[in-house]
Amino acid sequence: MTELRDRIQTVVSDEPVALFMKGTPGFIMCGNSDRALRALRGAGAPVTAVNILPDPRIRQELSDISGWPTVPQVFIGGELVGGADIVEELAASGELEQKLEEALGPDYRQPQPEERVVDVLDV
Amino acid sequence: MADRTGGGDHFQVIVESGRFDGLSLVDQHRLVYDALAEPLADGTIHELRIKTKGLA
Repeated sequence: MTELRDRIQTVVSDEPVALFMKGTPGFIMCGNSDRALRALRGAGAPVTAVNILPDPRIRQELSDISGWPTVPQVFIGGELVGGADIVEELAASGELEQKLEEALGPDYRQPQPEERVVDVLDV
Repeated sequence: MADRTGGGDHFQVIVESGRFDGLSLVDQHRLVYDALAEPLADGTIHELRIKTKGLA
């Protein structure tokens, strides 16, 4: 249990942009996860995705760490940015790109942003 | 407060309050989640969309 929590914490802390979602970017299982991913893609963010569905403990441990009750959850530079509503709102106002620049540097945008999937159950 | 799907468990809330002034969006939404902790925990609310606004 603590190992799982440590692995989740490592993703949160070490990945420039972490998206905890239902499904994966290639197989999205929830409309709100889709909204969050689209907003991040629109801002050119390099996304590291974690699917929370394979084990209910992932969601539980994640919410214990973040104090945020729902999924998706987006972290930039280790900091909770919010769920789909907030990320969409920030994307619309331009603040999402600003946050990405602050955390990743002004040249964070890649022509083809990298998307990775990390399995916290099996590292 | 709006029932988005008519099923009684997908809701959208728009909250305007002076308590949001000076808070980040994350902290603003946390206040809404806290206020609705019980129905969120017991599944009465399956999905919640939140829009918050300060008064300042």
